[in-house]
Amino acid sequence: MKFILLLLVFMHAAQAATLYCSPSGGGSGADFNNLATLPNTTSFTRGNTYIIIEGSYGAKTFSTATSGSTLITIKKASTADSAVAGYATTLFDAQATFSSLTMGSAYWTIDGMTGGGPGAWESGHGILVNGAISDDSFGVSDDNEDNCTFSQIEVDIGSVAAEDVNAVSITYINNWTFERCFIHDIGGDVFKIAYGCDNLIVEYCKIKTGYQSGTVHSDVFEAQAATFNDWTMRYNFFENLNGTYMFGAHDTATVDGYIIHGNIIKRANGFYFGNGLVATLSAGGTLTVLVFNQNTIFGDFDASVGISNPGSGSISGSAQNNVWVEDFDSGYSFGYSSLTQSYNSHYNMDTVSGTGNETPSGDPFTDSAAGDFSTLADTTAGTSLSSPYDVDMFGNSYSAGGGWTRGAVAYGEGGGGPSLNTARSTRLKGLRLR
Amino acid sequence: MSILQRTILILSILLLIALAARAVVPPLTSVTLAWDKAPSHDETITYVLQWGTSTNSASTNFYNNIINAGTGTRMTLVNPTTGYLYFRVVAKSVEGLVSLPSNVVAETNYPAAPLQLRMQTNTTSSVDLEFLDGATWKHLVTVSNDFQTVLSQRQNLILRSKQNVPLLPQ
Repeated sequence: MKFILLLLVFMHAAQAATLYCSPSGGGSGADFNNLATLPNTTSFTRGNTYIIIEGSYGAKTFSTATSGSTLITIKKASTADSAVAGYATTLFDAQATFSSLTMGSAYWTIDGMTGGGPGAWESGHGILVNGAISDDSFGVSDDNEDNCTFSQIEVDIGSVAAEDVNAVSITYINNWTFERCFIHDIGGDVFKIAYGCDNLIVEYCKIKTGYQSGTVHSDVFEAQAATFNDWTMRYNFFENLNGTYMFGAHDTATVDGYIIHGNIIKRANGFYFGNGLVATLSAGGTLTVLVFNQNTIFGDFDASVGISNPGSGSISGSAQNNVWVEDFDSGYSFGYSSLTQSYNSHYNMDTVSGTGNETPSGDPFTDSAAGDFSTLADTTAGTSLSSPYDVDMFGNSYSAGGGWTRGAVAYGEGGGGPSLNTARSTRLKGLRLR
Repeated sequence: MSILQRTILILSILLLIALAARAVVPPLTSVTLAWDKAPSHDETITYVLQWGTSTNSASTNFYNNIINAGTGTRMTLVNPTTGYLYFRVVAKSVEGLVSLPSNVVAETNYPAAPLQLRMQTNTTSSVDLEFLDGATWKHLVTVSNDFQTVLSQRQNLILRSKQNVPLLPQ
């Protein structure tokens, strides 16, 4: 019996190989001196890890049949592979590029290994996709493309106008995660999601520059034609995006359990959301158990923004500890629809009712122009929130600076500071600072 | 009054004159700020020098000037903002984490006082004040009504807005 068990363990271990690949290596894949050609479609092996070097891999479809929950992992080569024969940084100091990624089966991890996230939002991504990421049966049927993770990938749609080209198009999927990705220049929806997709997580991503026109209406996270459960959008940086809404639901769609936490949303003049930052449509749409807290929203709010529920839609949940800064005009205001809202700061705007809300003036951030949305001083104290809402995108407590910071970035998240040394600080003319 | 008392009085007057002379601080053409490293310092930590004319976080002048000082612990500013300045430093990690700010150091930077002021006209109800800008006398302000009595006595006037400047009687 023991022999059989050992044999099974050995067989399993033998199946989980690591192969080093290039676009057209042709070798065994044993190491960097024997690069294999990265497989396509159904020719991957479940349990394997494929380490890819830089180069152009074209359009890929990943549709190898599932085997329980066994993953297939595709990772960019990195310094973690330094012990492998033939290793050289010149093999991976440029991106591995795909023209599109199409998922045709479940349990995949695609990992760029470097770049992205706070401090490197737009740089260093190991993998570049110059086109859409989608499932292979968009809008047709549920043929199980669940459980996929996309890490540290740049997605450059390359649109310069509203061309109705989506960045991510998915239907009938569950458990997809995007982390530390940089998705930009999108001429349509950023995420077009329909017919039932549960447990969608987008975190530590930068999503930048989206377009729409009178005929092409874009959204950032478009939910259509089904009930979706448990979406989490946290610790992201959204910049200059257009659409009917950023977070919302179309017509008959419902998002039940929608967490929008700790994000930075920056908009230059001219970028707007027709119905609102969080919104439904006049024909319907439902957002329930919505948690909208600790977000920083900065920019031009002239066009509709805030939480909006026109027509026959409905929104319920809470909005707390958010910081909204209107940087172009004064006197503007917005509502929170039917959300319970409190402890929000609305800079340069009209009074908003609700417990703990305030309307200060100015720009409270360290360097908003450069994208540094830490605050120069701790904000008026917000209300304390419990885990997982008590930490910011850096993993630091919102109480790090003493009070409870409102907005996305905790005050003093970098710990104790330096100290000015008056003995070494002088005027050049010799007068000592007091 | 004894000789000792007279001596003390004269010395006190001289001391006051000396202190008054020191009170006119030349404009701050440059200032060097130095700081001790943050407790969590490593070679990747950079420092950001912040300064402004207000310590009120509701003010638009609340540390509204910033400059990245790199990994060093010293920074010289040339021709900084005019006014009463408050300086502080924060540390920043490569990920963008910003530390709590340092202690605050204050410094005065008022513009140089005009060399001369004069009354150009002097009626029973008003007087025009001018200041010397290089070789040219320029109009500063017209003073009227409440100052009539003072002006009629032809006393030296003191411009007290920023620095003390004696007004030269005509």
